[in-house]
Amino acid sequence: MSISLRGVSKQFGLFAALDDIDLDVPGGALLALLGPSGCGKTTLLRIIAGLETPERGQVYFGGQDATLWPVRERKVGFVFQHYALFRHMTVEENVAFGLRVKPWRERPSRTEIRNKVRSLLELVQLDWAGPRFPAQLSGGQRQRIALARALAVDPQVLLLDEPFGALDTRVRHELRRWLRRLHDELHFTSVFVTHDQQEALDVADTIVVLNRGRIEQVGAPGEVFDAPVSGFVHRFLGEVNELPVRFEQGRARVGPLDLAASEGIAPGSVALVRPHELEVLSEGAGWPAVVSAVREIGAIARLELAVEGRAQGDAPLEAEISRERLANEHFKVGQNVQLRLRRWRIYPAAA
Amino acid sequence: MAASAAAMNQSFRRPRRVLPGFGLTLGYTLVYLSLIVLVPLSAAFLRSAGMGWEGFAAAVTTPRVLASLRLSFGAAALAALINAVFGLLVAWVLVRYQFPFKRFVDALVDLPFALPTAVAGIALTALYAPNGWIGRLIEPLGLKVAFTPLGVVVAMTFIGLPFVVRTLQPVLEELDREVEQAAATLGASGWQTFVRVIAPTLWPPLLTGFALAFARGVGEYGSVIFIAGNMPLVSEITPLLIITKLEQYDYPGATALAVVMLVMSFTLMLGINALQTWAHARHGKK
Repeated sequence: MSISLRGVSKQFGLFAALDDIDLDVPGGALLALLGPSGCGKTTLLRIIAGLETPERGQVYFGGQDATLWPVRERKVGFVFQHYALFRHMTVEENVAFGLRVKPWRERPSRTEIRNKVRSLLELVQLDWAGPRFPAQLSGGQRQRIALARALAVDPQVLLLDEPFGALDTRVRHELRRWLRRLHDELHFTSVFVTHDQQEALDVADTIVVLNRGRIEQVGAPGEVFDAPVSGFVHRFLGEVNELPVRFEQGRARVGPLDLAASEGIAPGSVALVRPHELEVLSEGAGWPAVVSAVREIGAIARLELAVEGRAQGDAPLEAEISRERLANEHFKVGQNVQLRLRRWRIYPAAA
Repeated sequence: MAASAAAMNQSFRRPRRVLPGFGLTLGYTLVYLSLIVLVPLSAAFLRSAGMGWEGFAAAVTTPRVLASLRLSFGAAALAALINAVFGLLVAWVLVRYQFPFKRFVDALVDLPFALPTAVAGIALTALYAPNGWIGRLIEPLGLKVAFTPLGVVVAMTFIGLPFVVRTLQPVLEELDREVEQAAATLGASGWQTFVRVIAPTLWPPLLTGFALAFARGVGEYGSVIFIAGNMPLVSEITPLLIITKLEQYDYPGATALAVVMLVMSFTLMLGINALQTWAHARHGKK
C-alpha cells in the first residue's frame, strides 16, 4: 500500500517538530527516515502510524485520507526501539495477541492461530522460544519477536522506530540483512527511522534525510551519498574534511589547489571532501602537508594531516587509504607528503 | 595439591559487598522486631494461656464475640474491596490526566491518613446521622448508614483509601506507554488493552493495597465506634469488645479475643502474601 503525506506539520509547544512535509512512499518500498536526533523523524513515523495527530496536513493510505483514522484501524505493524513486548505473556502469547483481540467474527480458530504463530516464529528463526518469556531472551531475539508480533496481523505497512538502535554492532548488522530479505519476500511497504547513515545506506532503497523538521533530500542511497543537495546532507552521510574556499584571479582555491572557476561560488563557501577522496602522495606536486598521526582500523588506515595555513583549533585533515598502500608507502608520523583532491563539492557557508 | 588448595581458599572467600555491616544490621533488625512486635504479642498469648483451653474456647465463641468478629473482618474486607476498585480509579486519574487543582486533589487522598480517627468518626456520623446532610437524603429511601453495620463499612472505606491509591500510583507511573501503543497498533481496543496488557501488571500492587486497607480496617477503632452505634450482635466491632472487657477488668477475656484477632489477621495476611507471590510470578516477570 502506498503512503502519501501532504503538508504535514506538527508543533510541540513552540518547537516545530515537523514543518510542511510532503512525501510519497510507493507501495512495496523500503524507505529510511534519516536524520540527527530532534529532526522529527520519529514524530513523522508516529504520525503515519496514527500515534500522533498532525496539526495541519493530510496522511493518505492507498489514496484514502487516513489522517483521522484511529491507530487500530490503520492496520500498520509498528516495531519500537525498546521492543515494547508484553512481558507477562510468553513469546507465543505475544505473537498471538493481534489475532486474539480481533472481533470474534474475524478471529481465526485456535488451531489457525497456533499454526500462524508457529510459522511466524519459524520465519524469525525462534521456533524454540514459544513458551519462554521475553525476559529470557536477548535483545536481538526480543526484537525479532516484536517483528513477528507485528507481522501476525498481516499489515500492509510496516513501521520501525530505530529498530536496531539498542543492539550491539554484530547483531545489528545481522538483523539489517535479515530485514532486507524479509522485506523482499513479503512485499509490504516499510518505513524505518534511523540516525545511523550506514544502516540507511545499507538497508533502504530510498533515503529521506530530515533536518529540523524539514526534508533535505529524497533519493536512492547512491544518489544521496554521491550528490548531496546541501552541506548538511553531505556532512550527515559520512565523515568530511571542511576546507574553506579562497578566491584568486577568478579561480576558487583551497590551499594551493585550483578547484574551479569562481563564478557562481559565494564568498565564504566551503569545500567538503570525504577522507577517501583525499589523495596522499609521498612526492610530486600538490598541497604540502605533514603526517601527524597514523591509525590502522581493520582493512583501512587513517592519516591525520597538518597543512599550512589551517587555523589552530581546526580539526586536522583526515585521509583514508588501504592498509596495503600504507604498507607499500610507509607513511610515518612527521613525514612530508603532498595532498590532492580526487572529488569535492562546494557549498555556500550557511548550508 | 596446590590447585585444590587454591580452590579451597576460593570457596572460603566471602562474596564482597559494596556496603558492609550485614551482621550488625541483621542483629539490630531482630532485636528491634522482638522488642516492638514479638514480645507484646507473646505476652497476649501467655496471658490468655492462663485461662486454659476450655475457658479460652468459651470466651471466644459467645454469640456476641462471633458477631463482632464477623462484622470486623467482613466489613474490613468489603471496605478494602470497595477501595481496591475506586482507589484504582483515583490513582489512574491522578497519574494519567492533567486537570486544574490536581495537586490539591492529590493531597486530599492523604487526608484520611492525617486526620485523627476520632475527628473522622465524628464528621462521618454528623453526615450520615438521620438528621445529617446525607442521612437526611437517604433516610426516605430506607437506607440507614449511621449506627448500622453499613456505617462501619463507610468508616473503614474512608480510612483505607490512601493505602490503595498510594501503592498503585508509583506502579502506574512506571507503566511503559509504548506497550499500550503496541497493543493499539495490533488492533486492541482500549478495554482490551486495559484488561490484557495493563491489568496483569497491576495485580501485585492492587493486592498489596487491598491487604494494607484491610489490615487498617480490621484494626480501626476511633472512627468506627462513633458511626457504628455499637449495638451488641449488630454493629459492635471486636476491638471495642476488647476495650469493654478491659473496662470490666476481664483481662483474660480481653486477651483471648486479642489472640483470636491476631491469629485471624496473621493467617489472612499470610494468604494475601502468598497470592501476591503467585501473581508476581505469573504476571510481574521483569
